[in-house]
Amino acid sequence: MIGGKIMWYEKKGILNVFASFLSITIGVAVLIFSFYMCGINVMSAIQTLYFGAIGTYNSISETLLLASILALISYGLTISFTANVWNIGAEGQYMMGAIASTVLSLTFKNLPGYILIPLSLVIGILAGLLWALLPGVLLVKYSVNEVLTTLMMNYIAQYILSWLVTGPLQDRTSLFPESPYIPSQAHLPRIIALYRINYISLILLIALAPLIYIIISKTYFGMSLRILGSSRRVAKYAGLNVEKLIISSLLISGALSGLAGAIEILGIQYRLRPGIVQGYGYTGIVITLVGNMHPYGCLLASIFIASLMNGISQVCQLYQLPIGLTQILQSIFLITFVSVKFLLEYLSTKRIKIYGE
Amino acid sequence: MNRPVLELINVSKTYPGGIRALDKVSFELKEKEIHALLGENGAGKSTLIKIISGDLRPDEGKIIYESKETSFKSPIDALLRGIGTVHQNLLLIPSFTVFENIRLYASVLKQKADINALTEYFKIFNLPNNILTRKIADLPLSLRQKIEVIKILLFRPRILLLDEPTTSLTPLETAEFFNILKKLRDEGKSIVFVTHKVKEAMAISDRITILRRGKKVVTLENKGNLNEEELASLIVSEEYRMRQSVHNIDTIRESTKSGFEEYALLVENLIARDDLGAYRLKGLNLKLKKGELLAIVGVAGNGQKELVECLVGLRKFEKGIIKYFESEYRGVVDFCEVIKKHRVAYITEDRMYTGVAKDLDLATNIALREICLERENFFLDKRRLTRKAKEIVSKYGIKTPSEKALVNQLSGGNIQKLIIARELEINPLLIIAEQPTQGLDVKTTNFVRSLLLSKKGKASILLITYDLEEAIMLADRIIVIYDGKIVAEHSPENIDLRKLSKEMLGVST
Repeated sequence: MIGGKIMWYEKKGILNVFASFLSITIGVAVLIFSFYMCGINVMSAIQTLYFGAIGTYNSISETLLLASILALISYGLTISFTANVWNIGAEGQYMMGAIASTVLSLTFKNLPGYILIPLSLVIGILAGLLWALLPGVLLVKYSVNEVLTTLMMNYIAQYILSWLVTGPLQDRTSLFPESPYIPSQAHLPRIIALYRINYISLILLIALAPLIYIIISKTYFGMSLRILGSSRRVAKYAGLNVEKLIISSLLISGALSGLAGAIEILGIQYRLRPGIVQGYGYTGIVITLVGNMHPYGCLLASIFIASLMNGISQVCQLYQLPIGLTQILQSIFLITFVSVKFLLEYLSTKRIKIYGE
Repeated sequence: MNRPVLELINVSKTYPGGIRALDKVSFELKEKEIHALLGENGAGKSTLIKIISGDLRPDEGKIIYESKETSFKSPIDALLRGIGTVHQNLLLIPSFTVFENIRLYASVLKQKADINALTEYFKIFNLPNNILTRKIADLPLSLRQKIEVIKILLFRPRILLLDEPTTSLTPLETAEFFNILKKLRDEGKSIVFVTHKVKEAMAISDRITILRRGKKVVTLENKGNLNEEELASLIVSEEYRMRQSVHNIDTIRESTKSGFEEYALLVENLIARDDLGAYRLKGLNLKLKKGELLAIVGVAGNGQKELVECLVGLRKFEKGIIKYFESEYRGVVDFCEVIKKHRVAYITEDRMYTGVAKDLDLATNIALREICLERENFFLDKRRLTRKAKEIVSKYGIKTPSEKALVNQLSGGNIQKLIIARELEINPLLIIAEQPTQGLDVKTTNFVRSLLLSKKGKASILLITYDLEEAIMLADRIIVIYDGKIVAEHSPENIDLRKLSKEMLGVST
């Protein structure tokens, strides 16, 4: 299991929070160091970063918007990772959600918004869920490793999307591979007209965290997931329907990723473009791990990483640095987090006391 | 008179957290001797072994090895200097062949293993040479044990430490193993034999050192003049005498004996395969009467494991019927339903990896059965579960800092208490107990047995055990499993052990 086996619900939280903060600190230090290495003025770069991240009303709106997409994905991953089911396919599930909601809102152009929006969101959820179903079935029926199948499903989704935007869905009036705009009544209602942040994103970002927390720690379903995550043998011994649990954990995480894809279309892009694919599914994995597979941790981590992503892209534009910096930073977070956690765990097991011996 | 090779003088060890595992223990090992280290779980045997093998360093005291005061940096250091350890949990890689395991171990130590000596040891251990190319996973535990010992012997240690080596061996295999040990001793090795079984210590050792609660009680010469009961009373603490508890068990047994009318569990013509596809159950029939304690005895590997797995829904069966009270199952048992409807408890044999989720806390592990019992509920009643966990911890004397501690901080005996507590707390009408006292010390064994007996009458009990003594002591009826079938039935009162062993081994009478 990535990042060791001590989990937040085992009251080892401090260790995990420490690992998270340490990895974030190291990541940010590396970031600043890379500004320095690129020969740009570090102080003004940090200033740009701040304004791009949370320094203006618009950047706050953008950060929350991005955070909501990332958080949705990582909430779902939290569920499946807790069950020790490693869904790497959030990226593909997100794309399928985006595709389905685009197709639906373009097909039923004349429906009023209060029907079209829920319908598009639901179809996005269903599409993400279905995209996770095949790896789930392969896993429980034929023990095919879910890491491989979910990952490969991402590429299938990617090609489907490319084909759609250059073929059947392409806007005839556009030179670019992109679909026509979805009808305006399908746009998610904004809180303030000038800024893109919308009600549904914000509500999902904030309200889902406690909901997921309650599901994992206070329900029999969550307890079953935890037991399954600890050991499949014990889960079977406990009389759990292991197959059903594995599939449902995958489906839930697929559904939430699909929803994220739908929101990307209905709330941000308003049309299907290859540009919607920005590796959010993989960023979601980083957030879930750095957030210690705890929904509140994921909430904080998604806001933090979203703000960094927005800030860095500003810096990159202004100083003409490669945009890949964001990806590098994410990888550093992940590597430092996993290694710090491993190290701490190693140190703590050396001091562990066995009772009754 | 042989001179000592290893001496420990006033060695003490306190674990972080304040548990004093060893308190000024002195220990002497002579050349060419088998020295048994006898004591309950928690007496400090493992700690002592870990100190000798370089795994732990003592807080105080001296280690004198080959007449020089010394300390061992690590187990590898100790092994290279002539002290080899065979651990209770074998350290072999299942997917590797025997040869690959030996080579791997040698290369990890950056030593040339004495491969030529392999053939020699194979002869001593009575192993065929072609076993070298077999995978560890395909070998039975008894063979793995031998391989592990050979693996250590290839480094020509002077001293061999064996930590509970007979746990997974049948009586016959144990006897064979003892002969090998004696041969090794006569060749000049010194052997430390850790055990909690009095009989084994008496059978094999030249001297016996008894530990109790971290202190040395006595070292005795074993010249065949030792008395089993006296030894046992030296092992257990003053306030808890073994004889007394045996007496208690007898009285409970008398008082709960009664007539039986109906069946709690019926198994008819059960046919099932093992994981590799071989038939392991070949038309097994079994009837467990209400309120009865039925023991299934037999040599390991005759279908006990598959039978239990079928009974608790972990294995599908091809033919036959399993009937719990009035619920009948074909193909596979829905054990969750069985638990909920009929309150059936299952004490698993594999307590460390199947019985508990080790990286979850005690409270969750204690609540494991609630998943089936509270099947229709969505929310956990955390307050009730915590209260119940606290109750169980104190009622069954589980040693833990709190109910929120992780299970991987508990010792094996403590984990077994937890499992049994959890299973018995559902007030079962039927208990399936699979080797419930395997590897436990005298005190915990008696505790577990009296718990089982106290449930008798109220609940029917199916006991699967390899320990004949246990079966005779506890059961109302003993049945023998051989090659996937029940081949005989006995009453424990007038049992013919000779006949029984023949039936267990499939020798026709």
